[in-house]
Amino acid sequence: MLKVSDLAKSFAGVKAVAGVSFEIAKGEILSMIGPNGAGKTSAFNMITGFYAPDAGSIVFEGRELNGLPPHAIAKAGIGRTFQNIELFHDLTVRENMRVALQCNSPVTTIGAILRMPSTVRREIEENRRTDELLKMMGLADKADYQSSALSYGEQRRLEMARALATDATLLLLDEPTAGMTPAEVGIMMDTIRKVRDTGITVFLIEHNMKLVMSISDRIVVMDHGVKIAEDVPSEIRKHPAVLRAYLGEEEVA
Amino acid sequence: MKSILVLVAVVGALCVLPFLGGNAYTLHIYGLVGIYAIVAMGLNLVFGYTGQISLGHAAYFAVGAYISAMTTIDLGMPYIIGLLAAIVATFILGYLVGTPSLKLEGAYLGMATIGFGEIVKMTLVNWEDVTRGPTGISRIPQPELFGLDFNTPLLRYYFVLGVAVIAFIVYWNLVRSHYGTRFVAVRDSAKAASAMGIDLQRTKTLAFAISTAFAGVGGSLYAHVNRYIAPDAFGLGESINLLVMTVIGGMGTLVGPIVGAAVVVYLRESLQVLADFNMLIYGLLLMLLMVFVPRGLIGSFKLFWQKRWGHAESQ
Repeated sequence: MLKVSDLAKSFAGVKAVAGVSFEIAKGEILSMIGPNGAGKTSAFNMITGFYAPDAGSIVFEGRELNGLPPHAIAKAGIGRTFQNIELFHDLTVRENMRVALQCNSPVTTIGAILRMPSTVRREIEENRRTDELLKMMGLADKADYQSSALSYGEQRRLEMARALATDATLLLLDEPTAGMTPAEVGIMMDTIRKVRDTGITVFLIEHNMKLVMSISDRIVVMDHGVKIAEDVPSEIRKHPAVLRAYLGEEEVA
Repeated sequence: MKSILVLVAVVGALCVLPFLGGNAYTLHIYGLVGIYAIVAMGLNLVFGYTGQISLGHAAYFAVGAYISAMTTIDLGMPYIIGLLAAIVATFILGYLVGTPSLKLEGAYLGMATIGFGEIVKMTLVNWEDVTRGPTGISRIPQPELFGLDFNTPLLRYYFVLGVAVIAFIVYWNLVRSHYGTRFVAVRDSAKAASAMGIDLQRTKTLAFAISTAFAGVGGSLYAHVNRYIAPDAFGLGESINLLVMTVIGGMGTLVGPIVGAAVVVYLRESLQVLADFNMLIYGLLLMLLMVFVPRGLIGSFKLFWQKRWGHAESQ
């Protein structure tokens, strides 16, 4: 579904990502792990168009994404969340969803100004889709809340619901459980599985090993801007390069 | 449905307003409120909702006024053509100026918009063959539509009211459509907005061009109701006044700009009696308003209402 080849990006001479390649298959949950500064978020930002890669290619369902701006990539079907939650805090939960639903809206400026029947019909359809997604995320009763009034875990789930509302087929989650309590992590884990079960491919960056090991179909391990391993969780657990990156040289030796 | 009834009731009240003891002067003032309300609504789209400052909106107000006046006088066209020409010209101009300027943000965008405002003003002063220079254009025809002449203060008031109501409906429909939420999204988090498939540049430019077209409508009305225009009236001071209306009423609130326009026009007129002290008192009142009602009259009222009656959790 997504094929990343030889992706590279430097910041002021420092190689954040130095030639990384991997593939994501349709319907799987792929996790990317690695110590801080390994280049995970940089890779994410390149796939979603927030950074322009120095080299390499990103092919999504047969289409080259390298060089496209973020909004075009969102339209192509890749949704994302942010490490530091980025909600529209002046808007309600429903309005946040609405921003995402406009991604593929056929309503034109003239249609909006004249408030044509097709505009109103689209709004009814948007409300229905919003209720459906909020229900899936366990936020059904929060639709009219100000998004800033939600709890931390709810905000994360709203961000996911919003990303899905763009009609994304590939969902990128940047540390979805950062700063969460164990109970909230449990809910998030169920939520990610639920999303996958609707046929959506999930690619996540995560530090919580328990979650990564139990949820992932495959894991990509990054260190110092390069991929040091890629395998199923049971193999990653005992992979020497991974142990070295996480535990340091001596323990392994 | 409820909001449509409120709109009908308010328009009805504004229709009988002249009969509650109005003379030609008060009707003129009401008309000015309507004209500035249109411009302030437009400015609220780009400044209040989208969060992009413009310190040059008087320029588009001027272009609308001049295009409309010249189309009717120099080309001998009927008023409706002048109005349409003003709308089209200011929309296109807003689009052309907005495209490069809106790549800038904050204070830099402010400077760029001031720059363009000064260019327009200097053009009006110096391109005498076309604009008649500093003396301006006088004896501009009154508005007329399909043979109906708006030749009394009362009829002119109704004409402005009619256009203002249409402008409000356009503005209201935009704000409650996904364009409105899209504008706020760009203001709240540009990062998340672009991850939702929003083309930031296009959205900002669209908000800006629509907003300049509103200024163009206001300009056209101003020219034909006031019947005299000159470059002096369209400087930086006027741009700031327009911004003040939006802020005092409540940025990013639906009816804020209308309330703001009424307050500013009323203050400016009623303080005339103070002669030399008028700007001093006006400035002082603005300062007090900003200190005590920082979110604007409507914005602060909404907040108060929510605190008093709303769900505590939704604020």
